[in-house]
Amino acid sequence: MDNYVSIIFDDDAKATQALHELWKLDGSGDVTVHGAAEIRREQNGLIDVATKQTDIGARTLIGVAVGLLLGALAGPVGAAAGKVVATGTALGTGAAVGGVTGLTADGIKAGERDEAGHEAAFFLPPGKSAVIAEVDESWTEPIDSMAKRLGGSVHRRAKDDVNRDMWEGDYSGYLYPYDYDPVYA
Amino acid sequence: MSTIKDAINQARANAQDLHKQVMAATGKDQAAIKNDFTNVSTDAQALANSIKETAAAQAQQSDTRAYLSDAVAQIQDAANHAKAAAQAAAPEFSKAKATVIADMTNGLNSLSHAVATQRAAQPGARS
Repeated sequence: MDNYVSIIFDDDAKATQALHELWKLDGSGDVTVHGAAEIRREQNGLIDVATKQTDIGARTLIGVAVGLLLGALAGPVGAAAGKVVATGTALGTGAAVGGVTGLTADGIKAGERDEAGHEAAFFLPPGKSAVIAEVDESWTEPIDSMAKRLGGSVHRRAKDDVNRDMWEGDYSGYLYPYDYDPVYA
Repeated sequence: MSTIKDAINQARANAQDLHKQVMAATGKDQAAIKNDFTNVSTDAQALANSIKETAAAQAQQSDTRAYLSDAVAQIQDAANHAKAAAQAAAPEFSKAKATVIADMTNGLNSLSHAVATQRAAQPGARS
C-alpha cells in the first residue's frame, strides 16, 4: 500500500538516523521508499526542510512543497492550513531564506478547530524534528519497529487520501528519491 | 524472476545516480550546467534503452510493465530536454533546466513504483 508516513522525533540527530534507516529498509526490500525528507519545526513556528540543494530556487520550491505535503498529512483541514501558510511563505520568508515553510494551526479557521483536533498530532510541535516519506509497505511493522527503537512516533495516511485533499497536485516528487545527508540552511 | 527483479533494482539505482548528477549540475554556472547536461543527455538515453530492454526481456506483471514503460518515456524526455537545455539561450534556459529535473524525477518515481510492484509480486512479499 502506498502511504505517506511521518515519524516525529525530539531532535535532528534521531530524525537523520531514521532517514538513513528508512533507506536501509528499502535496500533490504522490507519497504519501498519512493521519496523522503527530513524537517524540523523551529520555536517560532516555522518549519525547515533539510535539503542538500545549493540552488536557492530549488530549496524554496522543496520547502513549499513539503510544507504543503505535511499539511495534507494532517487531513483536509491541515491541507487547507498548509496551503494558506505555504503560499504566503513562498512569496515572503521562504523565498528569502530558502526552503523554509511556515505551517501553523493558526491557518485553520476557528470553526474548524474541533474538527482539526484529532489531526493536530500530525503537526510538528515546536522544537521537534521529523522524517516525512512516501513508502510502499504491505505491513507496518518494519517502519514501526525502527521508529520505536529510535524513540519516534509514526503517523500514516494513504497516498490516495492525501492526494484527494491536495487540490493542486501531487507533491511527492519534491521528496528526495534517494538517501541524502540533510543540511539545514 | 530474480534476474528481472535485480535488473529493475539496478535500473532504479542507475536512475538515482543520474538524478544526483542532474541535481549536482544545477548548482553550477550556466556554461558548466550546459556542459554537464550534454553528458546527462547521453546517459539518460542509455538508461532509457537499458530499461526498454529489461522490460522486453521477460514477461512481467502488467502494472510493473506499465511503470517501466512510463519510466522509459520520461527518461527519454529527460535525454531530449537535457540536449535542448545544453543548446538553449539564456531566456529559455531556466525553464529547460526545470523540465529536465521534472522528467528525471518522474522517471525515477516510475522506476521506484516498478520496484514496489515487483517486490509485492514475490512469494512472501514484505513490501
